[in-house]
Amino acid sequence: MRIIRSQWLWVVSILLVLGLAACGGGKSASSPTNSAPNGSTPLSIIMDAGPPSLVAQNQSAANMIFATITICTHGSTTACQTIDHIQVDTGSVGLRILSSALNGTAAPAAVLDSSSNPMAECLVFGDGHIWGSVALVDVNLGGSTLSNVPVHIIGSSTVGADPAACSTGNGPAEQTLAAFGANGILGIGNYIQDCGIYCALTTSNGQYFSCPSGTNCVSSTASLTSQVINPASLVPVDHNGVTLSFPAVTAPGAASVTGTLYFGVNTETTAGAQNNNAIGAAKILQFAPATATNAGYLTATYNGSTYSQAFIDSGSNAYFLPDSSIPTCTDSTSFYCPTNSVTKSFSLAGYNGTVASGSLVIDNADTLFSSQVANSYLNVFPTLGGPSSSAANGSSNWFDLGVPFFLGRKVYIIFENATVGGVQGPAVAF
Amino acid sequence: MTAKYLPGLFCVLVCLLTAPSVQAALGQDRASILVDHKVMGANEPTVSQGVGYQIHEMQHPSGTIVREFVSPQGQVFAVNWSGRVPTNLQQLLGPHYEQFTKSALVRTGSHHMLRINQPDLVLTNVQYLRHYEGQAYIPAMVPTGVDTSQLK
Repeated sequence: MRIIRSQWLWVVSILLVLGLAACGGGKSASSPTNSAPNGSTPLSIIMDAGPPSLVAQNQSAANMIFATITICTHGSTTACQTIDHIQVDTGSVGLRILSSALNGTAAPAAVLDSSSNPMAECLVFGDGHIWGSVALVDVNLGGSTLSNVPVHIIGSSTVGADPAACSTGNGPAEQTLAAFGANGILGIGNYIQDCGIYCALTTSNGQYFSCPSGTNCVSSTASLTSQVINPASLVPVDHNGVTLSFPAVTAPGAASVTGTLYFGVNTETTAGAQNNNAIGAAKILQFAPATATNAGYLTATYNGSTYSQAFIDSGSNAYFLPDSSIPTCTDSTSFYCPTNSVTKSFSLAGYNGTVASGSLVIDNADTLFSSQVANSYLNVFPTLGGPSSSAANGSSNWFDLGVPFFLGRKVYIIFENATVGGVQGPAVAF
Repeated sequence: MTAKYLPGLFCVLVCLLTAPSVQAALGQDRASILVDHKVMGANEPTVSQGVGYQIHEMQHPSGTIVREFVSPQGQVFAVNWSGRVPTNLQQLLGPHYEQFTKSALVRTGSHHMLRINQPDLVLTNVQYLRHYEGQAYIPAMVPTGVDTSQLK
């Protein structure tokens, strides 16, 4: 990866942006209304079969982490809706909810730009894009009511259909439950805003749009305070990151397993504290900076080779690794199908020079998907792996430790600008 | 200019304006790279030599880099992309874009890691936080002896 040119211009412009953020952008997120007494309240998270209506169509989830989130009309404690099966994703930032999952009880308020036009967003994933309004709701999280949080309402009719600037070349629209696979997504990755300075400075950013008369949306700058924000950064205490914790699951797996999302990293270290996010002996790995060739990534060593684009992602449902020694499945070429169980060791290095080691096991995915435990098919697969590239010999620079990595350990996500154990984020620890 | 040249000029303009949708890069000839560069608003491609192919590299205004790999026969047999902002895959994949969108709609449980492995299109697309990267090639067009994993 190359760095973005004209960085000097960006640096020069940051003060300007901060100014815009302070005075423009219409409504913006404000301080939470109350704070929890003994640290934030942890959020229960679960890996199960997924949204019931998809299960009914034989589309059960495999290795997806979900949370149940309550949103309210700003200022109300009764105009609220609790939404289940919101995917928990450390590989994106911001709360996004399918408009089809909203029952109308909670009323999102449009985020307006400096010309009082409603704003919309086009977020591009690896497998498609989502389009919809940017809106403010109150979000109950960590035992607090987070006030006026900018969120993304996927498929919201208030901003019309996705314009060509969003729909062209960004893959399929994933606006429905069947296409998206969850009622929404809770992005708790390492950044505060989903786009950041780039969208605050660049008109044709392709991500944020201004919608005069509600539709006819055109690409537009978005101040930092009007961008979709990481909700975990807004809890009144313990907001420097998140800590995900799951018990170990024995192969072939389980129908479901419950884990915990603790708010913050190493901010509540008292034994017995409800939100104990102590980092202990975990190694802290800093992301490579924008000036590095592998900006935003860690470096992995695996099978004696080095891979420059390594990351830990709760939104990937398997270990995705470059390993030509393991055969891919004939049915699903997305996964590995070794004849016998494979155990491998790996290490991850941060830009700060710290190295953390681990091991992983990969089993035959076809066998896993047809396995039953206690007469139930499985939705949690601790040994699911697949190639990180479709290239002929599976070789690539990508090394993706997905959901199986989160089982049986704590994974710490340290936000940008936070410092933990002397290491400044963005960083991860395990 | 006399009136009799106008229809011809009109055709040239129309052809230039409409060409991108039918003459994109992957699987097309070398000339299509210039169409990509215009449509994407990228800078002039720079050309370097790999072992058994040419690399045409261009940069979006956003900083995102697109590389197109050209065989000795003059065909774009592979492309890759990397940057802060997604690239226009419809332009880059051309006729293969529909195949990409169809495969992408098959849910595999990850929005961040898409892999397509079909006889006429091998594609990987990765999105993690604020980064977009990927590669695609047409197996039958890869020159003999070229290791697709080395197309970086």
